[in-house]
Amino acid sequence: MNLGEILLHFLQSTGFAIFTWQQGLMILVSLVLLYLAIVKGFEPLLLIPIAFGMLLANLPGAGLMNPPEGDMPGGLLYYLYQGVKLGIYPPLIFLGVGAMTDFGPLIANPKSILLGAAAQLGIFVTFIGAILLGFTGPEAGSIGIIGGADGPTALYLTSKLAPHLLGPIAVAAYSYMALVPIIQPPIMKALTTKEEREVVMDQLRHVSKKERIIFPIMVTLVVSFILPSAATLVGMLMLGNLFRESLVVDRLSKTAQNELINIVTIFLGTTVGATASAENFLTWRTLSIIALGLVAFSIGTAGGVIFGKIMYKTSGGKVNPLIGSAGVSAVPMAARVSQRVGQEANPRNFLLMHAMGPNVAGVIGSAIAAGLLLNFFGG
Amino acid sequence: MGDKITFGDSLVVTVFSMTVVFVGLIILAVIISLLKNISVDKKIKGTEIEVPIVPKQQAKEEKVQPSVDDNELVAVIAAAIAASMGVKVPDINIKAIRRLPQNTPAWAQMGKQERIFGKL
Repeated sequence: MNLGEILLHFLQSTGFAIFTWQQGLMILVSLVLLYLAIVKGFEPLLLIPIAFGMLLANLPGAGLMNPPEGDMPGGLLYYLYQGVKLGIYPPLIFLGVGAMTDFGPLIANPKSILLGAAAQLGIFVTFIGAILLGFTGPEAGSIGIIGGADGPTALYLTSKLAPHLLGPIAVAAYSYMALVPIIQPPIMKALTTKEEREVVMDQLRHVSKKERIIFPIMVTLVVSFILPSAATLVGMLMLGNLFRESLVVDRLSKTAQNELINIVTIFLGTTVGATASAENFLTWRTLSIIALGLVAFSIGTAGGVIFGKIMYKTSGGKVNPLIGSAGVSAVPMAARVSQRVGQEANPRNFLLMHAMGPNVAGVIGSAIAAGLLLNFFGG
Repeated sequence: MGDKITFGDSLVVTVFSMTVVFVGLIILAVIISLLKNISVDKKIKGTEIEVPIVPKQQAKEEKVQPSVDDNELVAVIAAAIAASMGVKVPDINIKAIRRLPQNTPAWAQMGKQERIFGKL
């Protein structure tokens, strides 16, 4: 082998020689997402790993997502991706979310749990829409779950039902979650009267330590008996919550809500982004998924607000319908939106804690919805 | 259920799933409500913080020695009363501020001060 051949061989193996336009476009998409995450502050904790994973997976010839061939080991991201594929990371994220979540407002006002149920309407209406657009059952279920506004749930279900759609669904779910403060208020205002928005709700009652401890155990038992397929997500969520509320395993609680969730987020985000290869992402289906995701969010919000109006009527004007929109998980952003819109109508109104009830109920609701879809289409 | 499903099937899935989501969460709501009766700590059972609604222009009187003539002190007391009543300063009408004779034991005063400084 002479120097000329070595040089030629080297040049042929560089990224420039084997670069395709599709990869170029995907790198461009990842750069746009990085811009949105860093400059515009769109869910940066997840969007940065997702976007960079996308960038890494589309580097020509690098093969970070390649599976092992013969004696050749696979790429790094391929191995990390197994945690997504096998459904390990999302429940671990749920463990951390549980440790961070205060279910007190929900325990204090159990009726607000119904708003968390109503807001799941978006999932199923979008599911019908996706079926009409020609997606298969498992794909449609994964697209609909975007409306649950719950990242880990969406990724968990998609990894089980339609792993080839993970990239577009992750991008749609997290982008819309970042856009909650823009998407929700117009829908909330359109569906409510000023009088309804001005309702000041009674202060929540005190929740005892016993109730806080019994709650996660009870929810795990009830939900898992009704729907065993939801046990993974709900069980981990509630284990995290028990760490928090028992007050005797502070170290575990802190680890779950800091180190563990951060480590898993890095792995999850990067590898989910890495599934967005050019052939998976650059199709008309991605555009329809992004459009359907918006529909899912909007209908979920509307479902919650409309049910809120029903509760306003039945309670004799004691419930502010604005807290209904918080039923679409997206904790705590959706509850903050309820607070903001409520305060615009009446500056003395503090809906935040009232909205946290439906908000955390939405997490349980979307986990149940995911369990149902898994029941119908899994395996 | 197979991969390819019809519009009709999707409606069935939707109606069934929404029903299960509702029923499941209603069961949870009922159990949580029961939980309240079983487990609320005895002492605080039923305590709800009542926020008194104070009518505007209510006369507020504090008994303080008349010799104290300190505008700053008056302003501070007025602001504190307004904040605790949740109204604006112009909405309350302070007629008099008089100092009450000190009858708290010295040890209680010490304790109170320590607590205040502990919070600062």
